[in-house]
Amino acid sequence: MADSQAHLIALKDKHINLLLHSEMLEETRIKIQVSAEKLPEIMKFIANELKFPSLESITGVDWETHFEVVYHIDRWDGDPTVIQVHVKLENRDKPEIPSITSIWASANWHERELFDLYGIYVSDHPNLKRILLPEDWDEYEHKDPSVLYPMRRSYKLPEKPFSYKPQPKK
Amino acid sequence: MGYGLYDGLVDMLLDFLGLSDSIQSSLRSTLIDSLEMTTILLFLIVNTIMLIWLERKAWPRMMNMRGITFVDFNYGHFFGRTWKFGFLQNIAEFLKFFSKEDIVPEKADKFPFNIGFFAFVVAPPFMLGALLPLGGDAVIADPAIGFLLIFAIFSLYPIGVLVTGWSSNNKYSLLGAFRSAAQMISYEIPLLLSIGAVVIVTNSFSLISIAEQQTLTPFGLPFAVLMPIGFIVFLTALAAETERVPFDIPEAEAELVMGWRTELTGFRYMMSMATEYFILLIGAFVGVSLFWGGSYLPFVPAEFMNELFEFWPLIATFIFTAKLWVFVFLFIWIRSALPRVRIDQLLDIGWKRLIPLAIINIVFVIVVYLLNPSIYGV
Amino acid sequence: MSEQMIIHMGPQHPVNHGLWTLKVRTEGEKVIDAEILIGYIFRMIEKMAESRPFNTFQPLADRLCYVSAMSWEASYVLALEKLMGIEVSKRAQYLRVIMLELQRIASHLTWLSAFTADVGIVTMQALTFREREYILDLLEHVAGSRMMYNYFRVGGLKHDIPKGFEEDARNLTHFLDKRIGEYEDMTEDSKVFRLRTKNVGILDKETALNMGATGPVLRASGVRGDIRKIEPYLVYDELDFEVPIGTNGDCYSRFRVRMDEMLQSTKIIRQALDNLPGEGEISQKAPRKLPKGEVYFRTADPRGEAGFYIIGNDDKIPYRVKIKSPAYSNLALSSHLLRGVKVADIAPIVASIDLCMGEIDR
Repeated sequence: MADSQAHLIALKDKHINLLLHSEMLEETRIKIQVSAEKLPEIMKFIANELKFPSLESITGVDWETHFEVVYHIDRWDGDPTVIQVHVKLENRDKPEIPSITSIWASANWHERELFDLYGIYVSDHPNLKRILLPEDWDEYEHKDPSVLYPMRRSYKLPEKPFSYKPQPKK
Repeated sequence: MGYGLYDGLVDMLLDFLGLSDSIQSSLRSTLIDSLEMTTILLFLIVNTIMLIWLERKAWPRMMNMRGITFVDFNYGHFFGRTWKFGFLQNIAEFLKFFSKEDIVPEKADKFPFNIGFFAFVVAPPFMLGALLPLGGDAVIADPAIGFLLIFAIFSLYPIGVLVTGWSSNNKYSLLGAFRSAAQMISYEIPLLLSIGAVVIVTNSFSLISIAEQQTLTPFGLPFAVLMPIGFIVFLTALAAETERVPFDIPEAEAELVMGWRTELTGFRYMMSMATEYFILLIGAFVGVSLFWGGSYLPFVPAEFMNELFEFWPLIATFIFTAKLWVFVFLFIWIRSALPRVRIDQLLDIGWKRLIPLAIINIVFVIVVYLLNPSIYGV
Repeated sequence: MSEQMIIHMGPQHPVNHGLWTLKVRTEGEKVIDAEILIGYIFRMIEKMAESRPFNTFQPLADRLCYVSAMSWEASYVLALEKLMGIEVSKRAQYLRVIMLELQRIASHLTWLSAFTADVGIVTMQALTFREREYILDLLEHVAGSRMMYNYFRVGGLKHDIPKGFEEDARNLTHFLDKRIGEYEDMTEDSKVFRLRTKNVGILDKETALNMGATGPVLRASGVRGDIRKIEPYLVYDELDFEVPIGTNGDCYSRFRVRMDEMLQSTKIIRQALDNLPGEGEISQKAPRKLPKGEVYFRTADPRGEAGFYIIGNDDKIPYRVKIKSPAYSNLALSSHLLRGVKVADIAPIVASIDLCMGEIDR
């Protein structure tokens, strides 16, 4: 769609040096890739200049070798464009990404979820603590990082569901 | 005074025992009074239970449900269905509540938690039995201050609620208790003001003589028709005083779980709920006597009614009880239809709407009274 | 009572319709601050989606939200179809629209029941459930299950509709129109109801967008944001309907928007029944494997915009499935709505954003 193309062109015009990669996925999906340091800058541009008022979701992806964080940003005035911002985090041991809560307040819970399930540290976040898992999850006896952050690929679901039935005594 | 039911019975008993000459007349009347008090308390308790039944049957009916059904006598199966009405449900539940453990919260302030509840919440309504008329002129005591005494004893209730809620050391209870106290204290004013007009035209505080005066009005119309504003204010204020929807804010279950009675368990909880209905019933006694003409009916000559009551006093009680039920049904109906208001809106309604309306009512009644006192049966 | 106190509402409290905790700091009757704690029924459903073949996850997508199972499985199936590039026959698409709109009405009726009960009309709670049961009966007739349908398939539907369904559905829509009118009489005509909902929990347009509101919450704030119009999927572009919006962004607007949406849904169902092609492949073959690629697909769930972000890796097991839950976004902003209101307003505000803990905790 012409609208979506125009957004991509505007992005390229302004920030061609920040975009590591950019393409149109489908008619209405713009995929761009930026580095973690430059993320707030490009997000500010998308929010203020391109007028994308709402952040839909933040997705963490564990690619075994590195992490990737995907942001979906859209607008509600009839334009179906969704900008999909990918950020690659190469440092697997200590992944860190800047917070965008100051740009979109809705990022708050999504970033907490990212921290909770993937262990990606979000710097400058106003209230970074676990959200879906218990707050004292780290203090549990199993200190294995794969259990600490269960959405990482290294965590495997158990084969059988847990059984809570009392076992017969022998 | 008195119902006149037991005089003959007590005399017969004393004659039979051969004590009629030796016993003092005051002891005789004490005996009669205690029998009559037992009667009115039984009447109140049975009616409370049956009104709870009415609420649990009529309200579900409005929601397309059957309400309580199964705990009842076996009337048999005929006309293609099993006839059960759930008359015994409440009794079964009362028994269940009595068999429950009585839990006093560990960190509650035990003394006020017990005393506040039993002395100020449960006891006051039971003190009122002597003042309530059972139709016609049947009443145990008819003091000169009449229903003012009823409202004076009523006003002990918020103290009990406040003490119980505060001492049970629970945040919901505390909030509920404060709401309850604020609500009851501020609604006593419109309640009494709405009755003020009635007192002005009848020149009496006695529930019986006020009820009788409503037979002297044109066509025997009751005061509910002759001073509608006053009656509406009375209904609204009574709903607030008895904490019924739309003014059930103290126990607003959506946010305060159970309000001031959150920490009450077992028979305490049962007593608190029963007391609420008890108070509603007493409010209905007052409302029926003041605004609905007691046991008299409009368009029926008072002489005829009086002769009928002389002949068979139970008819008066029957009519009065029927009116009580209709009065309580009004509250059930309101409950099924209205949401609950917020505490600040409630206080606004009380202070900014009801009090001016009550005063307008008084002025209106005084003007009509000065122009033509016979409208009010004077 | 000038000192502040903290009230924990939950995890089991009448206000929260599900397991979560609302920690409010109050000063007397005024709420100073509210914090929301979730995660009590966290099942890691995204992990489950990543560890089994894509078609076996579909029954679990139903269980994301027990109130609107059909729309969640639709979101999942439609996202997969988009990724695989499957075009479904017109008849199947129309049938899907009918099911989705029936589900939307059922979901809104459940919401109405919870909302009115929280405001204080307990009578409505029972009445709305009665009408919802008619819809569930109809859906059970179609799918064989009352709440967890598992009716959609990648490439179509499980089976065709039973005999007599069209007439039943049409009668039901007329019946619902009448009943929804009755509900409006019961709620809107009541002065007390308006007192409790108007100007309560106001969410202005900019804040709504910035805090990620979706669905009726966003539309009540005056944004005409409906994926069915912005990015039509299925056959929504062939149907004539309006997107109701509110003006004030308060609880009353959210109530109004949902009531209007129910009426629009009955309209859509009637149109879809009129246009329903008699012939068409109900179920077609679907590939066994997901192609390499990624898709972000949005649908209009009753609660707002539901999104599935699926990454396929040339395998039958998807590499990553991200579920964008609308209730999650809406709950996140409710702590903002609760700041400064009265304690008694907590219940209507929380109820007006329509929560479903199944999809929030996932």
